[in-house]
Amino acid sequence: MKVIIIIICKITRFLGKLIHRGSSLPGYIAIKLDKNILSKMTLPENIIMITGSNGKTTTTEMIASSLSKNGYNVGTNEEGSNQIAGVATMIINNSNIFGKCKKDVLVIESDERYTKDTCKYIHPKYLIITNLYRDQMTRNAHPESVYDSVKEAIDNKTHLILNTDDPLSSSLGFERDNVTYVGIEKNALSTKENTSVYNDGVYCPICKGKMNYDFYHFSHIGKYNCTNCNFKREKPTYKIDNIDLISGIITINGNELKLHMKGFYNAYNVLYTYSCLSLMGLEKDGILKALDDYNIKNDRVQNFTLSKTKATLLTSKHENSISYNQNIDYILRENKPFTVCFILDSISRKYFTTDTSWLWDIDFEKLDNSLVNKIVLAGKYSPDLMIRFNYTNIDKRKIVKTSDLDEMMKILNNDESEIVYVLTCFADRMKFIERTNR
Amino acid sequence: MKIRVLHLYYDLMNLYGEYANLLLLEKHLIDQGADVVIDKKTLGEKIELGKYDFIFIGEGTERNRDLVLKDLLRYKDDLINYIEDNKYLLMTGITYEILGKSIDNNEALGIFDFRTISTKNRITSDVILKSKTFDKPTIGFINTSSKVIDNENSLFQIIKISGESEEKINFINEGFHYKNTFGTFLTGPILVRNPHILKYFVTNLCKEKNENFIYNEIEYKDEQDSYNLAINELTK
Repeated sequence: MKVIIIIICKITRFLGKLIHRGSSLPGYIAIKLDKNILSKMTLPENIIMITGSNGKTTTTEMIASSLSKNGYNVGTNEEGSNQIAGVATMIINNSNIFGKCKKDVLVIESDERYTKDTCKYIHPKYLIITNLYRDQMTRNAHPESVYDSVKEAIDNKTHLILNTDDPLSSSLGFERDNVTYVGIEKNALSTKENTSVYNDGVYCPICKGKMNYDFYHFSHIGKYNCTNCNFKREKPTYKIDNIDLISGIITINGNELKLHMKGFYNAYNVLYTYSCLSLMGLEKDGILKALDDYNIKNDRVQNFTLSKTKATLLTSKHENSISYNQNIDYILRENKPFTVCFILDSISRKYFTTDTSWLWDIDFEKLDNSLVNKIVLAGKYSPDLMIRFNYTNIDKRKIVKTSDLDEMMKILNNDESEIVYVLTCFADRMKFIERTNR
Repeated sequence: MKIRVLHLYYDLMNLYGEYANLLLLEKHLIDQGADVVIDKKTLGEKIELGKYDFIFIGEGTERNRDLVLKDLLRYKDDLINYIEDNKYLLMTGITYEILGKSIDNNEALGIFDFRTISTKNRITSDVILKSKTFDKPTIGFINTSSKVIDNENSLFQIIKISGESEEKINFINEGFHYKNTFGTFLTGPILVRNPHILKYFVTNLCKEKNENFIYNEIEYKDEQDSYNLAINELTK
């Protein structure tokens, strides 16, 4: 039976590829035919799973690519196919018809809400949890419920790689063995105060006592300790000692590396990769070389030419304030007079909601800055954006609002700022891109 | 016309940008000629409930709701007096569950007779609701893994549900309303998204201070546009 299911799965995948269909269906069918099919596969010892709110796709790609460059034969799932069906498709397609996986190592991106399902059948040797933030709460619910769900996925044998700077996700390692903590040390960008509109680090995730912070990197990410129990930021084994986001140079455990994307996010992705490969026993030089050569599949930053100036499109995630905040921090660090355009035309590409409460979690207040020439609020939900900006101190004469995206394009094409930044999400960015080519 | 507002547990019950309710309430009250004072208080702090005209508590996680319940036990009698004195209390999300008899097997404040039970799956949905109290349909978002039973004083009736849910909403009556105490599973900036509810509170708070008060019609175009847009999207 197993052999038949595997063959069916492979044929479905082959046919699916011909018509460019998604990669979850074959695995879905295989699981429908035998829900234990994944337990019946012979898998390699080295299975690395990556989950968390932000950074899992890039980290997965970076680890898979770095392992390949170091001579490993790697199996990894495609972006978006990160629930059990997508994982099953990938595994079966990397196996022979008798269910033996032909890869040395599997690098699996896992949706944080469904990791517990996948982990019923697959036991990762290393589980990297990048962070647990407010993210798509109209679908995912709140971070504590995601935490509870991820916790169910973890068994004692799995070695956790945790971001010690994020209190919620790193608390999964509290009083547990078999954990490696990684983090960014205090640096020139650290702040004494939390500079965000909300603070998810006020109370301890273990006992709900008040937390104390020595410094923040951004939002509630930084060095903390609970004033009531033993929970604290653990000393990281792998750490970024220094980070310069202007030059993009970071130092990991004393080794200098250049970031291909200058942001905290990417620094963390590099750190997870370095840590995981080090734990697997790879030589330092090989890891550094692979990371240095790594060409990030970076379609999240794209450059365009407008009539009178140039534009940079920065893809953020709607319903994910930290992702917007990272991009706002980035454009302010670039330190050039600019116009910024926010497009909010559809809230999600995957499901329906009209909820825009997450706009109140974004640090738009930081745009009350003399570098800002103009702020363009565009798209169907521009009234919601406008309400948010009405309640900041930003000079209203700088703000233009339009629901019409062609009108938005006219405004941007007439702009004479040194640069125009366009911030939007995957769901809406094509609406800008296709208008630049007209 | 001085109106005192308390944003209670502001740093704990803040999952969905709830602070925006206070920003708009303040602005709209000022536009009607009121002096507004907004205080923020949280766990363990000394709270004089009686001196406020309007108290707001936002949505939080289940664990944070339980902390709030424990903290408010200190002021149970004050809270009963506040409610019975016809003062305004608004709670969003699962927070109003603490006013009932119990949450699962744990005792709640017991000010009212309803009870809360946890459900296995979570409801996350956009909804349209109607109410006898408010003159227009109300819109918003519900995110809950519990339900309230034995509630004879509901605030809303759900008339439309959309969005992705692990569990279908199996209740029509939603929220709680007694005197000027309002609780609803709707999360986040409900006064931002529902101009008619904001106007209701602004008008009534001003009337409490000045019985001859007449609402001065002011156009808040973006707020109205946002509401109309959401109603259109939700009734498509």
